[in-house]
Amino acid sequence: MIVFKVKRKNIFWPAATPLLFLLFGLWAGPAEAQLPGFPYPLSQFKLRNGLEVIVCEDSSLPLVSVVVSYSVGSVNDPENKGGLAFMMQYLMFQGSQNVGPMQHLMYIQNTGGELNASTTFDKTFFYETVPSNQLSLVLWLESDRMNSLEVNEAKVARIKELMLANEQERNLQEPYARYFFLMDQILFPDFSYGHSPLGTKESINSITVGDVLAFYHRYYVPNNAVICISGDIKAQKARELVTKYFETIPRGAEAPLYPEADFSSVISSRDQTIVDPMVSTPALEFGLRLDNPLPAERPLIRLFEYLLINGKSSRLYKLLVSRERTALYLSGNLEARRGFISLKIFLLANNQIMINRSKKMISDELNKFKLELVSERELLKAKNKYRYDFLSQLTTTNLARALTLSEFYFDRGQLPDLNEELATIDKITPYSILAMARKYLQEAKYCFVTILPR
Amino acid sequence: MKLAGSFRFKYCLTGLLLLVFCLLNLQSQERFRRNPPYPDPLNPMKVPPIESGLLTSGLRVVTISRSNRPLFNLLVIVQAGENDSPRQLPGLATVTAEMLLKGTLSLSSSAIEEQMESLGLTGSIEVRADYILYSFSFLEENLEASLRLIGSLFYEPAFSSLELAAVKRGFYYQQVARKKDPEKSGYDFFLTRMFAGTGYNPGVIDEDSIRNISQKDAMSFHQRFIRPNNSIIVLDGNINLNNASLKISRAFSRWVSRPLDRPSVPRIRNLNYETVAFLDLPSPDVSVIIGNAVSPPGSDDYHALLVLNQLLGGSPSSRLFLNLRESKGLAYYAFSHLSFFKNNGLFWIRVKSSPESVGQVVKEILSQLNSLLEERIDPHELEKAKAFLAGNFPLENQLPEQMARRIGLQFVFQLPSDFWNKYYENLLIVSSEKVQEVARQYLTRQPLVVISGDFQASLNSLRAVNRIEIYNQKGQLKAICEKGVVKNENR
Repeated sequence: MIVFKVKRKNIFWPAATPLLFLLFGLWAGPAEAQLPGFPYPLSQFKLRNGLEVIVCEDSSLPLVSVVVSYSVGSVNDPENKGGLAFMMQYLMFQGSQNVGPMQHLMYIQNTGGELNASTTFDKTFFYETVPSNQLSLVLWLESDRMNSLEVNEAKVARIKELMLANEQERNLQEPYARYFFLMDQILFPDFSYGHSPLGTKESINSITVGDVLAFYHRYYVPNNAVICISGDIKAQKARELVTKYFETIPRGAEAPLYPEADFSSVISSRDQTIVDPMVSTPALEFGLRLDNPLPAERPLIRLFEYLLINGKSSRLYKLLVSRERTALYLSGNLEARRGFISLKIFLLANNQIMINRSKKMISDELNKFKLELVSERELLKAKNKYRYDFLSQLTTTNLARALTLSEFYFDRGQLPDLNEELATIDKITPYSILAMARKYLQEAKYCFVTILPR
Repeated sequence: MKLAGSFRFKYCLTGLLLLVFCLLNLQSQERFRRNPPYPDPLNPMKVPPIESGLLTSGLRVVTISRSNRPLFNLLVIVQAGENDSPRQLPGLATVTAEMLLKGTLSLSSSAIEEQMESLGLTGSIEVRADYILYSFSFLEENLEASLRLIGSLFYEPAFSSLELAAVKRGFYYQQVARKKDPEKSGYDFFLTRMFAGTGYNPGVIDEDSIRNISQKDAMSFHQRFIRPNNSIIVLDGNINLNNASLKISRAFSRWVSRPLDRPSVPRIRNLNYETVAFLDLPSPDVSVIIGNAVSPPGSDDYHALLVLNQLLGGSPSSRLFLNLRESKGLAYYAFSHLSFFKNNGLFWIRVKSSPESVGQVVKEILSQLNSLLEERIDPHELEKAKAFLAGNFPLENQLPEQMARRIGLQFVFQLPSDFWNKYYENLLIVSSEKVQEVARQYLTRQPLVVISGDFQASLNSLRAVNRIEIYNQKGQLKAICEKGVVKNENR
């Protein structure tokens, strides 16, 4: 009897109360906040299923961009199933319950709109830009594939074939691309952090429909996603539409925590040479890993990248390309992988002598940051360039803005305060760059890979 | 009993509530998820407020006022391009345009780069047949300093011989690479043939002539054409015309005007081309370019031409792509385009295919063109094309430099001031009859066909073609092929 009574209580009230509230519209509404310091009205709310929504109003053109981002990327590929996160990007266009294979593409193109998708280390983005009267179409399409992706053996087999063909084509067209992934493996000697997001022939072939479905149900759930809408739309209208299309999609289990990285502090294979008959010009790849920088140090590292390699008047460009002419081509960038940041530099040179000279110049230039203060003038230049790029991303197109806001939200759990972001950069001094360089530019974390034609 | 009765009631109520909720929920989900929603009415794009004025130097200043951007975009359009290069020196306009960023009398090339980056200023150059377009973008707070730097590029370029050699070398290798690309070299050959005999250079450059360009040539081109009374500045940002004119007139005060003589551009006429031109170059792929002359921008046929282009090859859902790639698997891609020049326009199709399929590709394209001339256009297809164009128009103006360019070229091509604001209105009234009328007016049954790629590898699939003229990479006729038989081979 006692057991019966307890059960009865448990059945009725927990079940009936929310239902009554739902039926009579008494459920607490989502929170909304207006954020200051931004040139366009910005608001944010969360649906009951955990889906985060950001709306940015800009009526200068009758357009709207929608970015649906999932907190999943190559870091979540299961061991020996490298490429699964990337495969999901393709499969999301292969049809859902109410949208046929590739129809997503057709629907968007017929409106005159554009779409694309991308997968990074820890995020996957799907995005569309359409005339603003077509916002409901985009939300309908995106909600359908979040709610009911249809996957079968034939689709998975087709995508595997496509991925392998693309990989083969990429190796032919961009023979240096594989060395970018090699550098990741050297800098991050751990499967989750260092494997190629594109997978290998073996890992792609080993992926089953079961793997895909498990991955989809685990990560492609509203509580693991953020939608950012930017354009000619009022926040209230956007909220109504997002609620209509997404709120009934069931919440999923909480996504597992990120795999812990376990790297030894010293990087092995710090200087290696590879002879590759596929390449026609000698090349050098440089990598540097910065371990566990504090959030406050990240703007410093960003500015250091501008000083070192960003733009034609950056130190390495002026030295290697303009003055000494040891490099024919030079590029470089930073990449964040959770607690780690990598700096990668790639250059092409005429011969091995130039490669060796470039190597020395890169090391010397990094050392200079540890020994000498950068001039105020040089720092101001880097700050202005950073400021331009930052403002350009947030104010040029709806899509760039929506992507930037989504990334910010994922990385920091909040939207940027524009004034504060720029003030942080303004406060950086030559001394803070020197301190950062002494802390993070450790030769034990440098790595050079020379690629020579046969 | 009482307890059991109460339980039954609550149990039933829970069940009922669950059932009602599930039914409501399922029904509503089914309803809106099953089919795509109807769109709201289209909100036509309006060009932001524009003001225009003329400085005493003859420089036209146009402002696009926007209050919510912390950046400025500035376009300088010089109304001279490759068509103004001397006939024996094609490429001079491009080299001269590039040299303006390569040093002034007071700043070296690297000092300019340094200053530009210090101001948060980026720049790019585009040279066309009729104009040179400099596009700059910079931080709002650096407006005056940026204008001063940009102004100095125009009034005191140094034309150093060292920089000139580097610019020529870079440009030479670009042209050599272009010649190896079947699509780009095919398009250049197509342009040369379309404008043959008119004396007009549509922007085709011979890499060998680049070597002959001297400092004196570049200085002379600058003196003659890169003048304020031949230029337009479009400034897009948080500024009005008066303020912009004041700042620009100060920054560009030393840029002096000179008398100009702009020769008129002849109008090209469509011919019936009885031979196919084959540009023979080593490549595993084959490019096909087929096209006709059409009216210049701003003509009464402009919007109907846009619809015609969209129907045939404007996007992957147009006829050519669906037919050649999706349905028949003959091509990697198939698109059509409209290109505009002063007083002229071109409609052209580009297809990337394989040597084995090229004959079939040409046949299919000609058949698609003929069907436009003969068969009534399905109203649904027409509306789909118009809907695409209407929806895509704001996407083509997303970047501030795209908008500034559109406004600037409105002056270059002397389009009416309300031309872009009437875009939707004029698009909506295009009927299938008008599209067919335009097709019949401009699309000849024997358009110019240019194929570029490996001729020997393509020969088998082209045996049915009556006559093919085979050209080498220099554009010199080297052989003729009639019904698959190659004659007059000079190799």
